[in-house]
Amino acid sequence: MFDDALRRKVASFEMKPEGHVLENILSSESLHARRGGRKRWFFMMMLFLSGSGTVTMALVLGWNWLSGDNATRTAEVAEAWVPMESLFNNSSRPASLQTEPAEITVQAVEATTLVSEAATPTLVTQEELVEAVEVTDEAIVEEIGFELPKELMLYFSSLKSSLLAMAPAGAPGMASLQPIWEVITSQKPKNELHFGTHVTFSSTAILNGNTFAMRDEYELSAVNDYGVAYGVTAGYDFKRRIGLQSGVIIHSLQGQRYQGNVSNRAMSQKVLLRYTGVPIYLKLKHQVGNGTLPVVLNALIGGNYANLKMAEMVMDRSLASSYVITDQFKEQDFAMGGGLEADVYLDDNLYVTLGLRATLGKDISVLPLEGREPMRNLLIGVNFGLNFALTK
Amino acid sequence: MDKKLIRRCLRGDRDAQTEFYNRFSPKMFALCYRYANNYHTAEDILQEGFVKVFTYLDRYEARGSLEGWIRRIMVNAALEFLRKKAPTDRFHELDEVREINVPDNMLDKMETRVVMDLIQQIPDGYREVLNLFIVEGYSHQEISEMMKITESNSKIRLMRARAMLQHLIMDANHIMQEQKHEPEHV
Repeated sequence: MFDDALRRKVASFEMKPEGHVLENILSSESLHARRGGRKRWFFMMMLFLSGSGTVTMALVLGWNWLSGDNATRTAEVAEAWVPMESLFNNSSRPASLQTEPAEITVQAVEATTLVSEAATPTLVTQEELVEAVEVTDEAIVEEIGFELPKELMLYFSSLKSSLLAMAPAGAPGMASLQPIWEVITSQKPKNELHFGTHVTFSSTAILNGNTFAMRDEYELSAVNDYGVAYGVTAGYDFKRRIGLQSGVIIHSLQGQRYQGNVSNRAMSQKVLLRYTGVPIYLKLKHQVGNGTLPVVLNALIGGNYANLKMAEMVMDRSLASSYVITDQFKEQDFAMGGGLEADVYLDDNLYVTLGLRATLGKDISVLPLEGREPMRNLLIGVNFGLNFALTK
Repeated sequence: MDKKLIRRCLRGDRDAQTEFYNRFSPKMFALCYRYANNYHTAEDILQEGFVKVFTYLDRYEARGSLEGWIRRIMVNAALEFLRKKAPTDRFHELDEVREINVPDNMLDKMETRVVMDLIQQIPDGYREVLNLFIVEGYSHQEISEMMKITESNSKIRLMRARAMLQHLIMDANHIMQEQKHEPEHV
């Protein structure tokens, strides 16, 4: 009885504290220390990006660049290029291309011949549009054969370095650094759904795509080119600092531009690849800034499945001409990718996303890999998005 | 409403943190006041408690009530604060006092603030058990784990704290009655 009466009396009693208590709370060093802990996440993301950057540079410049053997490699590759004409030998082509009839009408004949101004539409074979190289050096072939494991090893190495930076502050020594899943699973759920649209303006390239330009008589070289991609995004945050992001890339333009001289005349040649795709990214989030309009930094690690809709070669000389070359590329492309983005909230739910993204694909040519270097799509771009976060 | 407010607090929005504090601090300050032995200690506990609340707000799962979650943090903050402040004083032995019957209407008529002040007069280790068992509703087993004492010790402390409070209430009521009957001096 006494206990019940006492509980009724005091349990819901209210007392207003003095104003200085709130001031002390808001200026508490503990709260600032908590925010300071976020710096570790920022550092982690920077480390991850630097690691990813290293991987990208390695892929662009060749793996021997990492081992300091670039000069040797360059010489080997230079010797390995074979004249273009030898590749037109039909017997060296894949069976599917040997028998396939020509179907494409163009307004100019094969580019190695100077085209007259009055050239009439001519039927050319697809084989003549295919350019490939053979790398005869056994060492290079062997290296290509082991390229993927090296990529993965370096990729995971950079990832590992990043994750080690996520270990809790004050950990006594390296041995006590917590692995990623301990850190992730220690977080409580923060379920949010994200919907939005995005557009990406990117610098596009076909790495090792010299098969489309590197002929001695062409004197063409790959130059920077640009593409655009747009689509819709959807995501789900199942932890406060981690989530999944996916969506549909409705249109993605990739490829490579080549420029140079042919018979002392300027020539531009472009390979255009149009894809649709489905990206899937693991998103590591880190909130920065105070106030009602915070910024959430996201590091993205993942990949992209792309389906080729059309491949086209556009030659721009005195006469513009284009060739549909879809059958010379694989229909499906799988790329690994990553990025750093900032979500700038406009209100509690609506936010604008600005960021950098990069993807690197697998070999996209239908030709057997043996005897040549893989051709990969590389995109490095600026991403803009308008999104809506729905708190569960 | 809670979710939006929490979300804004997590973003470091000072206005939201102030709103959050203003919403919950009156009840929580009363809680801290019951556990503390004076006003300033109650303020210190409230301050430490709210710093913990804002620090670990991202760990709040929306399954239970937000107020209940904050209340648990405040109780733990109070126990921790008192443990740090006087680690040995909390366990000094209180002389055995027999429980007496306090009429319900006597407690009901008494001002709550007066009852709170009377609770503050109970020694730390006993006051904590009384609050935890009677007001917060923890079991003796839970209290023994929270305070690192045995269950039987928790029961003894509760009985003595309750008896002491009953005597304090009776004394206070007696004084108030006397004051009522005293003639006013001009």
